Amino acid sequence: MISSDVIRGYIDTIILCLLLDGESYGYEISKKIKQMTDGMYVMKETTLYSAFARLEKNGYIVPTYREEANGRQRTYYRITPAGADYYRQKCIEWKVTRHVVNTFIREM
Amino acid sequence: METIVNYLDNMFAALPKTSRILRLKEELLATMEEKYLELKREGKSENEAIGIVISEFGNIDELMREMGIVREQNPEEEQIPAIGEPEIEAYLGFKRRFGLLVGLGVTLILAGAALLLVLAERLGGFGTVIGLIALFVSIAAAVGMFVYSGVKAEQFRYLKSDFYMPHEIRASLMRRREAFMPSYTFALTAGVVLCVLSPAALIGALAANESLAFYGAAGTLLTIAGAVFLFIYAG
Repeated sequence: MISSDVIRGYIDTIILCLLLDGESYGYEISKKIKQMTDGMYVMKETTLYSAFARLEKNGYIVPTYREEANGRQRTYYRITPAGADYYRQKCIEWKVTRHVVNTFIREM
Repeated sequence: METIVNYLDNMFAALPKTSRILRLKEELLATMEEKYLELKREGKSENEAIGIVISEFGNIDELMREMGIVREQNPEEEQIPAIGEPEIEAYLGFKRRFGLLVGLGVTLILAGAALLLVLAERLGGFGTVIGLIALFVSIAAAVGMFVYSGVKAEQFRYLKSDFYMPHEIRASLMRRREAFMPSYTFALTAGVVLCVLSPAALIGALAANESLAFYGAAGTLLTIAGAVFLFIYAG
């Protein structure tokens, strides 16, 4: 498990990345993150839903409410073009960040 | 699963019940339920599954900040009045006057009754009328004192519920309480002694002369009045 402080600036990037593959909902996203990181990063529920609220406010994702087979309503999120733009910027930013931090990482 | 529902209910208990928040709660519950069912399918025990779901919930304040929602202040938690020196002094001053007024009121009524007995005995029918008037006047005065005290007491009603009192004030109050203890004990003892002795006036009067019975009764009433005053004032 990694510390949430380190990853905070890239939570939105992670979610947007997963939405690039198609619309999705809370649990599916959370499950994918756990699987793809081999359980090294588990996103907390409140962190995930905070990110949804923030991304929606910024116009990076759009919700659709859909009725499930069990009668429950579920919110699906779709990425917008603005969201995809933002994602690209964050990817560039990360590459720079990684380069900067790597400069100070020594094998010891 | 019920544990999870209760957990979520608690997390949302202090939040406003807007449709936006209720929808969010529903959504969170659905996610948690799905996670829970999947963990069970993977062979986790009930307790393990619940433990993982709750430990991965996170922090509700983080979510509320992001949604721009301010937590409703819990009135009992946030607004316990703090009381300081001036309030304490006002309250103690009031308590003293309250005891005095109620004590005086009760004493007045009993004294009025005693006066009625004496006047009726001395002056016959005319005396009875005067005595009754005196009794009513004293009852009226006493009621006035009760009502006034009651209204005043309303002002200090907040002291009946929880309040916060600084430590040093608490300590100084305890000291004053100790200091009052001897007079309290004295007043109570004197009151009890007066009560016990009160029939003596009546009995004494009866023993001396039948016709003095009324004076004896009046004396008894007055003694009781004194005792009652002591009790109320000390309390």
